[in-house]
Amino acid sequence: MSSDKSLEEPTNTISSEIDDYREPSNGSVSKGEEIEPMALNQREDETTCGKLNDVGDVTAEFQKGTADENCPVDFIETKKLPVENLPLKSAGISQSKQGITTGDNSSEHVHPEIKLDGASPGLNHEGKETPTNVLKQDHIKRFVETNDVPNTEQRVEDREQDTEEHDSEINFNEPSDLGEDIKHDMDGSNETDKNKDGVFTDDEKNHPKEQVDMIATENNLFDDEGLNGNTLEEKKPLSKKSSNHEPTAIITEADVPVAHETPFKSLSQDNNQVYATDRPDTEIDSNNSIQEQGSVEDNPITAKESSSGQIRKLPPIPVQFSNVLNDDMSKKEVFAAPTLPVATSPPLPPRQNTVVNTSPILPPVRKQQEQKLQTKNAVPPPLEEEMKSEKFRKIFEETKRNSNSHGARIGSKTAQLDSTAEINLIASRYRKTSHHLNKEGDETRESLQEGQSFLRSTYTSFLENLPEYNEVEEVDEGDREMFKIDWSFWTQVVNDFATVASNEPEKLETHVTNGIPPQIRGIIWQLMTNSKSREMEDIYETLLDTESPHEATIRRDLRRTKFVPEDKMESLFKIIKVYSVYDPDVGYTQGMGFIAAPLLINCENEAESFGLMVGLMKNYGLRELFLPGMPGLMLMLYQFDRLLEEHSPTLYNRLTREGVSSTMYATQWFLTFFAYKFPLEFVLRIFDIVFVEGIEVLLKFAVNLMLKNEENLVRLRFDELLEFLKDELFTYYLLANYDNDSVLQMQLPGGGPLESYENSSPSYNVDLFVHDAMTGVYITPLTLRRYKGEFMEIHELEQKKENHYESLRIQNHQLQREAQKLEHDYSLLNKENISAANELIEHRLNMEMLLDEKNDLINTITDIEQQIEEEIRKQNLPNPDASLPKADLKEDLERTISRNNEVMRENGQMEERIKELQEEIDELISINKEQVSTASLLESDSKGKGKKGWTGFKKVFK
Amino acid sequence: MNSEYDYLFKLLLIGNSGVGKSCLLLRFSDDTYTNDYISTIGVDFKIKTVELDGKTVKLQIWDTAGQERFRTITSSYYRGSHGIIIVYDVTDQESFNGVKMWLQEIDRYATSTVLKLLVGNKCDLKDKRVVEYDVAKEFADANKMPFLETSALDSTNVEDAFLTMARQIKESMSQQNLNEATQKKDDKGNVNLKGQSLTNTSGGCC
Repeated sequence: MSSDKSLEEPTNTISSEIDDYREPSNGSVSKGEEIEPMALNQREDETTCGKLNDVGDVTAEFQKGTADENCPVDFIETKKLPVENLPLKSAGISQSKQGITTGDNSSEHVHPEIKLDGASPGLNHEGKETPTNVLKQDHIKRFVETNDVPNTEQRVEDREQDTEEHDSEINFNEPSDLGEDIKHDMDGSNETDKNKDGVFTDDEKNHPKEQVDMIATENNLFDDEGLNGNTLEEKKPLSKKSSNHEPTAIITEADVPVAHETPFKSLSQDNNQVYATDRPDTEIDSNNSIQEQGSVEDNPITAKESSSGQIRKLPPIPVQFSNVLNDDMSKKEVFAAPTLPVATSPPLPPRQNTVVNTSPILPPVRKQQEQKLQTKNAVPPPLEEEMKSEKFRKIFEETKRNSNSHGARIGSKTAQLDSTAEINLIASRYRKTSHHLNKEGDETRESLQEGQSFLRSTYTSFLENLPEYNEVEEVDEGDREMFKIDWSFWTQVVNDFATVASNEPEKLETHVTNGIPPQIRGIIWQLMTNSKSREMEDIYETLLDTESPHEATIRRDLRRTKFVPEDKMESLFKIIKVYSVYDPDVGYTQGMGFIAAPLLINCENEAESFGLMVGLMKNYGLRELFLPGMPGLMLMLYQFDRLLEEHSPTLYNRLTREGVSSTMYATQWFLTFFAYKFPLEFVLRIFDIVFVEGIEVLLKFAVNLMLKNEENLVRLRFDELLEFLKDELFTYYLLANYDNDSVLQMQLPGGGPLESYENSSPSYNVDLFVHDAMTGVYITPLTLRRYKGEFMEIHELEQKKENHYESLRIQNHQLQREAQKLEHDYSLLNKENISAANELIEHRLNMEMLLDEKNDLINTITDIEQQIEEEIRKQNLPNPDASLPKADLKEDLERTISRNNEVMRENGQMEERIKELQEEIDELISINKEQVSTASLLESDSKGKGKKGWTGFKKVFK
Repeated sequence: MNSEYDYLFKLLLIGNSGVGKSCLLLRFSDDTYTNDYISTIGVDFKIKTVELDGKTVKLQIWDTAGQERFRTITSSYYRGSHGIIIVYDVTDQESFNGVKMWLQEIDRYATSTVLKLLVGNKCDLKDKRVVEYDVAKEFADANKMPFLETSALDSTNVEDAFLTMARQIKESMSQQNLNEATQKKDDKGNVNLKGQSLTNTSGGCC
C-alpha cells in the first residue's frame, strides 16, 4: 500500500506538470480517437509517455533516479544544469512531442534525430497523440495504481514479434525503449546533451560490471529484477559490440521501465537496438530513418533539438544494430508507438520497487548506483531534465528515501518475491501461500511438512514404477505423452516447490501450461497448495459426522453435477458437506460441486480432496466468490470487464451495446472454474494453472476465450450471443476432425464418468487452449490490484448509493403509507367537512329564520313592552287624570247632589203640590160632579166652567 | 428486428432453489424435460416466440439461480422485467413459504407496475403434495396475482402459465396505452379550457 501511495503522489505531480506543458502538444491529441483496442492501449501508453516526456517523464525518471540512493551529487547537478536550460521549453515541448510520437513508432527515435526518424511515424504520432491526451488521464490513473497494465499487453505483442528473443530479452527491450523515450523526452525537454552524456557515461562505465552482475542475478530475479537481468544480458552483446558502454546504460534505463511497464519491453528492445545504432552512427540512423527524419525536420523542434545530436554521441553502438532496429522499427511502428509512452507513464512506484530489487543484485556501489539510476530512470536523460523542476526534486528525494527503506530488504528473497509478485501471478500466488503458511502455528506447519514428505514419497514410489508405465505408454500411444514429460523437472517441483516457484516461475509456468502429468496431478496440486496435512485430515474425519443444514440441498444439486462417476458421488457429497460445516459462513453454495469434483478425481482420498478444497477456498481466495453477497465474484467480473475492455474495446463495446453483461455468462465460469459447461479436459488443465497462479488466472482463460471468439461474438445479436457465450465458446478449440455433434454429446449435463471424457479428449486442442490463454493474455497482479481498487471504489459508491436508495425507499414507503393515511384521513375529513358545511348552511338558514323570528319576537316584545310600559305608565299615570276630574266630580256630585237635593225638594214640593192639586182635583171633581149634576141641568154653564179648570192647572205648573 | 415480432416481453423466473424453474423453462422453450438438469449458476436465458391474439410476442425469459447467495446477481434482473413468475414446489412447504419473501424481493427490486404470477410446480407428484391448491389460490388472490399449478414433467399448464403472463402484460400495456391516450386527451382538454378561459378573460378585458 505504501508503495501505491508513493506512486500516486508522483503521478499526481506528473499529471500536473503535464497539464502545464500540455498545451503545445495537446493540439494533436484529439486526432486519433478511433483506435483499435491494442492501438488504444499503446496510444495511451504513448500519450502518457509523451506527457511524461514533457514533464512527467522527467519526474518519473527522477523518481527512478531518486530510488538510487547512491546517485552521485554530480550527476544531479548536471541534471540541474540542463534544467537551467529550460527557457527552451516550448521548443523542448515540441521536441518532446516528436519524441513521443517517435517513441510510439519505436526505438528509432532514441535521440532527437532518432525522433526525427520517428517523426515519419509522426503521422502515427499525431493520430496517436490525440488519443493519448484522452487516454492520458486514464492512463495516469492506472499508472498510479499500477504501472504494469499496458506493459503486459505490449509484452505479449513483443513476444509474438520476437519469438526468437527470450522473454528476458523482451524485457530488456522494453526497458531500453523506455530509455529511448526518456532520451527523446530529454531532447525534447532541451535537457542538454551534457546531461545525457554524463548519464550515459556513468551508465557506460557501470554497465560492463553491471551486465555481468545482472546476468548472474538474472535467474534469481524473476520479476522486475529478472526483467532487468534480461535486459542486461541483451545489453552485454551490445556493449561488446560497441566500444562505448552506452548500451548498458540504456539497458539500465530500460530495466527501470520494464519493471513497471512490461508492455514497453518489446519496444524497448527495438529502441535499444535503435539506440545502439544511433549512437555509433547517428548519421546512419538518421539515414535509416530518413523518412522519419524528414518528418522530424518538418517539425521546427527537431532543429532545435541539438541535444538529440548530443544524445547520439552518448550511445555509440555498432551499426549492426541499426539493421535490427529497422526490422524492429517496422514492428515498433505497429506496437512501439503506444508502448513507449506507456513505459514513461507508469514510472514512479514500480520503478522504485524495481530499483530496490536490482540494487541488491549489484555488488559494487558504483554499479549499484548506476544501475539504480538506470533502473530508476528508464529514461535517464529525463532525470536530469526533471531535476530542473522542484517537484521532481522533491519526488526524487522521496524516492531516495523509499529506496533506502527498500534497501534494507535488499538481497532478501522476499523482497525479490515481492517485486516479482507485482507482475507475476505465480510469484504472487506463491507468496500468498507462503504467507498463509507463515501465519500458521508450528503444529500446523509440522503437520504440513509431514504431508509434504508423504506426498514426496508417494511421488517417488510413483516414479519408481514409472518406467513400466512408460513402456506401456509407448506401446499403446507411441509414448506421445510420456516422452514429453520432463520428469526431472517435476521431481524438482516435488522436492522443492518453493525454489522452483520463486526462481524459475517461467519454467514452471511453461511446464504447467503443458499440463501437469495426470498421474501426479493430485500430488502436485497438493504441494502447490500446501494443503496436505494430518491436521486437515483429522478435521475432515471429525466433521464427517456433523450434520449440515445444507445436506438436502447438496444432495439435490449433486445429482446435477457432472464429471463424477456414480460410485464417487457419495464421496463428493461428503467433501462438500464437511466443507459446509467447516466453513459455516460459506456453507454450501451452488457451484461448489464443480470445484470439488475435479479435486476428488485427482486425489487419493476424500480427506486430501477436502484439504485441497480448503486450500483453494482459504488460501486462494476462492471463498470470497462464494461468500454471501459474492464479493469476490463481483470483483472478478469487474476485473474481467476491464480486461476485456482493455484487450478488445470493440468486443467489449459490442457486448455492452447488446446489453450482454458479464454476469450473464461469466458467473458460472468463475464459480465453477469453467466446469459448468466445459468438458473435463479443459477443466483439469484450468485447475492446473489455477493451482500455480491462483484463481486470478481464470481471467486469462476468460479473456482469451472471448478474444478467440471475437469474430463470432461481434456478429451475433443478443439472443444468440448469450447462447454462444454459454455453450459454444470452447468449440473454438474443437479439432477439425470432430464435428459438432460429438461436442454436443460431450456437453450433455450430468455426463458420464470421468473416463468417457478423457477418452473423448482428443476432440479438443486443449494444449492450444491453455497455451493461448497463458501467452495471449498477460495479466499482472498489479493490474488486478488496480482494478480491485477501482472496483472497491465503485463498489463503495454503489453501496452508498444502494444504502441511500434503500433508506429512501424505506422512507418513501413510510411517506407513502403516511400519505395514504393522510389521504384517507383527508377524505374522511372532507366528508365530515362537507356534512359540516351542509349543516352549517342549514344552520345558517335556520339562524336566518331564527333571526327573523327573533326580530319579530323582539318587535313583539318591544310592542308588548311598550304596551306594558304604556300600561305601566298608564297604571302609574292615572293620578293626574283622577285628581283633577275628582274635584270636578265632587263638585259635580255635590252640585248634582245639591241639585238632586234641589230637584228632590222641588220634586217633594211638586208632589205636595200635586197632592194639593190632586186634592183640588178631587175637590174639583167632586165639585165638578156636583156641577155636572147641576151642569146637566145647566150644560152650557159647565163647559165654560172646565176651561176655567185647565187654565187653573197651567197656572199651577208655571 | 422489429419486424420479427410485435411485442417483446421480458419475463423473470424466481423461486427457491430446486422448485423447477429451469425445467419449466426448458419445457416451455424446447418442450423437453430432464430430471437432473444442472443447477442454475447465476442466470440463464431462453427465448420463445408465441402468438397472442394475432400478435407475435417474443418472450425473453430469464431463469435465475434460486439459492439466496445468488441474489446479488439475480436482483439486477428484476428491474427490466415486465412480468415475474414466482415458482414454488407443491411438494415443498418451504418453497411456498418462500413466496412471501420473493414478493418482497419484487417489491424491492422490480418496478411497481410489474406483473406477477404464482406457479405451483410439480403438481404431477400428487402423493407428495403438501401445499393445497386452495391455500395457494387464496394466497394468490390476497396478493392480487393469478395462480396456476403446473407440471414441467407432464407439461400441465406450462404453456398456460407463460401465456397467462404474456397476456396479462399485453393487456396492461394496452391499458397503459389507453391511459396515456386518455391522459393526452385530458391534457388537451386542459389546454382548451385554459385557452378558453384566457380568451374569456381577454374578451372581458376588451
